[in-house]
Amino acid sequence: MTQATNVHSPSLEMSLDELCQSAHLPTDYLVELVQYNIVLPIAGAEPREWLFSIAAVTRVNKAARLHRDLDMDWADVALVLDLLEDIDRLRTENDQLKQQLNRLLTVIQ
Amino acid sequence: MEFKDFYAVLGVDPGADDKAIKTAYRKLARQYHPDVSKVTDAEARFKEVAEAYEVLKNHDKRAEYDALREARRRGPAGGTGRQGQAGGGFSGGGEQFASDADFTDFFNSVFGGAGADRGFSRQQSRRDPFQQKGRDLEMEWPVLLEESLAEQTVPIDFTVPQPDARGQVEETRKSLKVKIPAGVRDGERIRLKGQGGPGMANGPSGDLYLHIRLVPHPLFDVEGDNLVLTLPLAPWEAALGTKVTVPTLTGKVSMSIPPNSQSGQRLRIKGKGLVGKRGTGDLFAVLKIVLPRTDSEEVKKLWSQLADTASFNPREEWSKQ
Repeated sequence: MTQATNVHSPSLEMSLDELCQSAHLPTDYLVELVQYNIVLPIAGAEPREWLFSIAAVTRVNKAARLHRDLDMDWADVALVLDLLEDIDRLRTENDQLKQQLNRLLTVIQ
Repeated sequence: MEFKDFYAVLGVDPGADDKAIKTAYRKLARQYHPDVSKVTDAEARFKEVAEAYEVLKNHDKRAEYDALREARRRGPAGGTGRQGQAGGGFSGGGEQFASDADFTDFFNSVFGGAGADRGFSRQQSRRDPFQQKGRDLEMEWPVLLEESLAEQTVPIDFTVPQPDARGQVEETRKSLKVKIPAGVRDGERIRLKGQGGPGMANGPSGDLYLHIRLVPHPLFDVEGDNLVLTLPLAPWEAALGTKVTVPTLTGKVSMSIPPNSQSGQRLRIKGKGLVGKRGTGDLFAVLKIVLPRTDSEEVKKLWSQLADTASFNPREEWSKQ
């Protein structure tokens, strides 16, 4: 069955409660992740005012998996996440540069 | 159902102690963990390893498994395993692998649902112990570079898995009109609150995430907020300068090429890039000097004349060493 609906606008940020529910993690756990700078709120001084970006869910879930599956402590998780992000960024940049180089080197004739 | 040898999965002896099992698990987990591994079947391999460890690290489960293994070795395949407890798996969260649903039939038939010590979903029970947020859904959403310049309202069709009272999952089709903001980037996720699976026991509905994929453009490459275009020029156009018509995402513009331009040089066309968080980016034209084929005698003669007159040595740098 198809439901007719109005126009939906995306939510740009989420509260601590919403982040906990989306990531299926308890509140204390999330507060700990913030203390270790693994995920940082984009606004709010206190936990109940905290707002997170949508990308926080992915990062938090990844952190929880590394912590649980690889038995890493939080400092290690923070380091690994930063390095993984660096690799991702470099890989994207590398793909872009390769693509540009390819356009310069391709002979038209 | 296939019997799984968890000892073989971890590569340990059936008599191995806890420490050896832990060491074997950690080694394999690091090798196959989908967040860090680039092996093609990493996720499947990791699940297998995690499942084996889940059983062998726990004394009670290991004893139960050993008994089953022993019985199987001795006599005809017997039904000593507990049956019919599989299911239960509705921990939601597309991101959360190693939830109940990920354990194999074999695991579930022997041990029922996965241990609550793996998922965290059951710990957040300040309210109703069964209250749970509905499943988050995710779908890829391709966006053309042209479309990313302005806010778009697009119709989206998707299906929502809806478990009924008996735990049977039914799929409901849903249609939404969604505002995609201007300036989205590849890999970005758009969250539509409450549009995912229904919650359990008055829990909130899950969310729908649109995973944005910028469709590669045949002419333009993306570099942050800027676009890069390769602009082919004839040698004489580069030498003498010229005016060319350049395509942009919003139509053609006229552009002056200064005399003595070089291959690889970048010329900027202001404000013709992508819409970004801090204003609009620029379009950069990278010059690429292209030589015509030299087939006719007349053209060959003209090149030789140029060679004599210009007295140009492109390898001058080499003679300095």
